[in-house]
Amino acid sequence: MSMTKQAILGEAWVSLGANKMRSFLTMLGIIIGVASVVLMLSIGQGVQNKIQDSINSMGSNLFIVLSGSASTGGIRMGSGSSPTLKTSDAQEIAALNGVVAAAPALPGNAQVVFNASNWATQITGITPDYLKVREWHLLSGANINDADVRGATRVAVLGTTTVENLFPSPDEAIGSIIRIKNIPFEVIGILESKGQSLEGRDQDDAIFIPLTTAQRKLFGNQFPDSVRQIMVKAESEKVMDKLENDMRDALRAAHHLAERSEDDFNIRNLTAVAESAQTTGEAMSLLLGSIASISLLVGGIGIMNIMLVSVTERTREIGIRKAIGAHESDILLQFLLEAVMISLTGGIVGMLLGCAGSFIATWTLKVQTDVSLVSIILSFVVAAAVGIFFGYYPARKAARLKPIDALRYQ
Amino acid sequence: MQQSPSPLVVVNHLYKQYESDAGVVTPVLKDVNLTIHEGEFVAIMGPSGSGKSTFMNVLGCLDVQTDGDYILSGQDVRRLNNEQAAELRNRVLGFVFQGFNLLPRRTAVHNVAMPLICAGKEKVEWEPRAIELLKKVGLSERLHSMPNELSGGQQQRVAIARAMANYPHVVLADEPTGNLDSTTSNDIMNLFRELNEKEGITIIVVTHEPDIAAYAKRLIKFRDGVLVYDGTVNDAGINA
Repeated sequence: MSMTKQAILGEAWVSLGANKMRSFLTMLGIIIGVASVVLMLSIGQGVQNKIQDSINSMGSNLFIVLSGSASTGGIRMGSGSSPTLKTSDAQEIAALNGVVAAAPALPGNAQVVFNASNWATQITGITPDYLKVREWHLLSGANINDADVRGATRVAVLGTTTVENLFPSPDEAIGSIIRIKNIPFEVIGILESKGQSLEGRDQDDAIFIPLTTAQRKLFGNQFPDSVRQIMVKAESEKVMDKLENDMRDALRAAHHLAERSEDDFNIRNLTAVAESAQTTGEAMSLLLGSIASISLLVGGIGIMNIMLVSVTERTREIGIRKAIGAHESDILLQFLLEAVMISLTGGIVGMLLGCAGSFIATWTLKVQTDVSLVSIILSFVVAAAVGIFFGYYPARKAARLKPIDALRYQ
Repeated sequence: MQQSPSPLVVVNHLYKQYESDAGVVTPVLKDVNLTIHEGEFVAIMGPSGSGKSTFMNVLGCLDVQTDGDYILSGQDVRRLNNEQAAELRNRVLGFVFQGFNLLPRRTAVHNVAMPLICAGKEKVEWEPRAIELLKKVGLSERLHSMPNELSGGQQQRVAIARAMANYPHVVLADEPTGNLDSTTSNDIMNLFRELNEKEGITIIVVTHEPDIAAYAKRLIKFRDGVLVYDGTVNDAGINA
């Protein structure tokens, strides 16, 4: 016996249309609120994406084991200055539970020459596992393989920045002979671009050569088997804490360290570093989002205000309709619908404006933004919820008016 | 006059009083007893403040009595909840007000159809009925006019058509000619008479003008909240 859905919708539409300016201004509050939520979330998401990209470029669930510090005559030299780590340590670690791979590396800096060009870059001696651990793929050519490591061949895999700086065109690179410290190396592969690391270092400015080649021919010292660092990839984030202890025990045993003596190596959990950066990004998103939410709240209060005015203004009309036999539930639904129509339309327009805003921000301010599906759905749901929440009280007030009081209202 | 034996309105020992915020109780209706049968044309008269409008509001289920019984179409109105009362107003009652009370921004057809729309009827049902009623009240030329484009008499005709829309048993008219000139008033009253005689609809009109009351057959008079006269119009010495 109550009104049809179309009839209630029609009534709500007529009422909104009767006060176009007012409906629009009310909507404006929601538009601004939703647009700022979408925009702020997209900026926050952009920042987080950037951090996530850096983390991903490093590889996930990583440890880096650095050789210990040397101290001569009371002067301590910092991590990696003492040649305490050996290739065999990597094998010890690789044998532990929860380790996917352990890749030893020996980095150093050197001048690289190709024809008339030259370039100073970081050269790292590695095993085939290294690029696997870093989740770093080849753009073209071949990887360093086990035979290269066994034979200490003179082959090199180049990062894109190095390629750009040495070769007039990247196509020439593979098969060319470059000279590192005057030793000729054949370029066998080019790596995909990784971009900046978390510290802002260009990771593509690099050359990789077989570990043994680096040890024996480039950065050789009195300890022929030493490595500067070992990259360790764990199976999952969960095993990392336990693995850190296991590695420490294994290395201490291998290095025959006495109970009391300090470690002659450093283990760094790279994921933990990344997580703290992630947390910063999330905190920023939260801050931006909450500021924007306040404007949405103000917009919602605007709806409530206008709906209350509207109820007062239409008291007589409500009385007439009740006298004619309109049900309380129909009147409740109509007023609620008016509020939801305002907030939902405002929500859609605000969402579009927010998307446009984030687009403009990306273009003009060079801020990385990302409008996620979640923020779109969220703004929709929030807009509808704001309409229902702030529309309910005025709607109930209208529906509960006694017909005689409503009719007598002047 | 054909009188159906079933009583449409039964009022027993009805009291209505208002209590102000300060706690002062003002009695408005005192011990009213009345029975109205289907097909009657009743005028309710009385000076201002005599309680006739309050009585009308109680009859229209717009207000609830303080004490006593009111049975409308076999239903004890006091026992109805809000939704049931709304349904009763929709199906059994039709209202015509002094101030017309049409809904603004809606055409004459839409206004007339409101009771049907409230009852959940589809447009294919309410539109022909509204047009038929507007033709009956002589407004076939103004079907799609807005209330503010109509004269007072025309608005009241729309209001009467609206009161008739959902085939009510009784039409309650509170000072229906109060805002109209005498010629238009007579037209409106003739329309009521026609509805009563041709369609057998019970009509209850509140008025303070004797010549309006003269259109009715039965007259009820109130003074100071008490029903002081209940008889035929002719016996009261009023001539049409």
